[in-house]
Amino acid sequence: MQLDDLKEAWAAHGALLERSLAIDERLLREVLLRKVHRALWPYVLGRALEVALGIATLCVVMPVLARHVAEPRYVAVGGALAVFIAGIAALSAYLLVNVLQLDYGGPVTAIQHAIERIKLVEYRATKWGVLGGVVVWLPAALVLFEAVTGVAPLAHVDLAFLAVNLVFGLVVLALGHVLSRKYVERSDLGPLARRIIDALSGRALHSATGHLAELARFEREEAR
Amino acid sequence: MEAQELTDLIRRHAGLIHKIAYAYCRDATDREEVVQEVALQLWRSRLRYDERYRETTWVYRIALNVAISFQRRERRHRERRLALDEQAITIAAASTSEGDAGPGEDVELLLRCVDDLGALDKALVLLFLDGNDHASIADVLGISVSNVGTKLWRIKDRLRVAFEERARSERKEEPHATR
Repeated sequence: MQLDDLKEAWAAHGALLERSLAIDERLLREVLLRKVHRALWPYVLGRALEVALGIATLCVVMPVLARHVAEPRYVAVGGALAVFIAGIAALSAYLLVNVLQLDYGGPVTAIQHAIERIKLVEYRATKWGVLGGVVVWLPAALVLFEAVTGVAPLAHVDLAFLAVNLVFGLVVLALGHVLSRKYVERSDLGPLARRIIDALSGRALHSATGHLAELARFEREEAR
Repeated sequence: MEAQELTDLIRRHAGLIHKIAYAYCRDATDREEVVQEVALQLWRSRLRYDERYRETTWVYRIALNVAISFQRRERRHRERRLALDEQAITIAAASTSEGDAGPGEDVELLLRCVDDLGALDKALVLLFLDGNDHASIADVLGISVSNVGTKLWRIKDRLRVAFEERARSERKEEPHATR
């Protein structure tokens, strides 16, 4: 059997399917009006909040950093914190803009590329947001405490304590990575846990890069 | 575009949307979800519709992008099925003189062989089966016309071999089945 021989059977199948499509016009109108806005709204709001929160935190952290620019511990801790927050806010802004611009009416390969690139950034943002958060939470708390109260706990904290916190954060980070790989196949996880575990274990990244590679193979010109 | 126009648009291209959903989802609930999602994306993209392209090209692009994304999402998280609270578009079992909406033997065999192809190769085959020329297929997929020709030639060859193998294995199974 050849593919060309099946065109007629395929068309007949399509005609049969066409007759089975029932459209409830009133319901469609209502669903469209509601779902189109509702589907994107939580995502847009979430990302916009991340960007706003990132900018607000930077506005709080930067003056503290400026006040202690000559102190190495502030430059190291506050600087790392500022870079981390700026990175996460930039990734969130990138995702927000790209998701809003995504138009499924574009060529299939281009849109699939765009979708996978967005997913890659999203997985990386989730991964580094969670892992980085484990390491920077204490410096963040100290710097933010100073920004809010004017008391400078970071100036009095022992450097060894900070180093131990860093090591502890790195251990938790490695443990999280190992555990996520162990539990990645579990099917009883909620959506948020599934998203985090997929991102941490690298499975989501692997899947997205795999699809991008498939797209690249598909787009490559072949010689007969 | 008003909701009424969208309904008319879906009606005009119901066969196309349905066939794509059928080829990418073997489960009836999944198919309905894809059809609904296509309707939503058509509505969402309506203001960006480029009139230089045929309406069919635009609908094909949206339907294929939705179906491929759905298939990838479902493969990863089958357990995370979206709640289908309302079904504005439903797939009824078309009771006709020919029987229900299930595919015939030839189409079923074709779909089983096509299932083994990648998502993009599958899109190429579907566009070809719908009688689109190479230029239209290239427009929908965003690849060159010459690439379409070469790929189709290779896929046809692969499918011919797959058809023969399946037919052979089914012939082998038949005597056991009748015993």
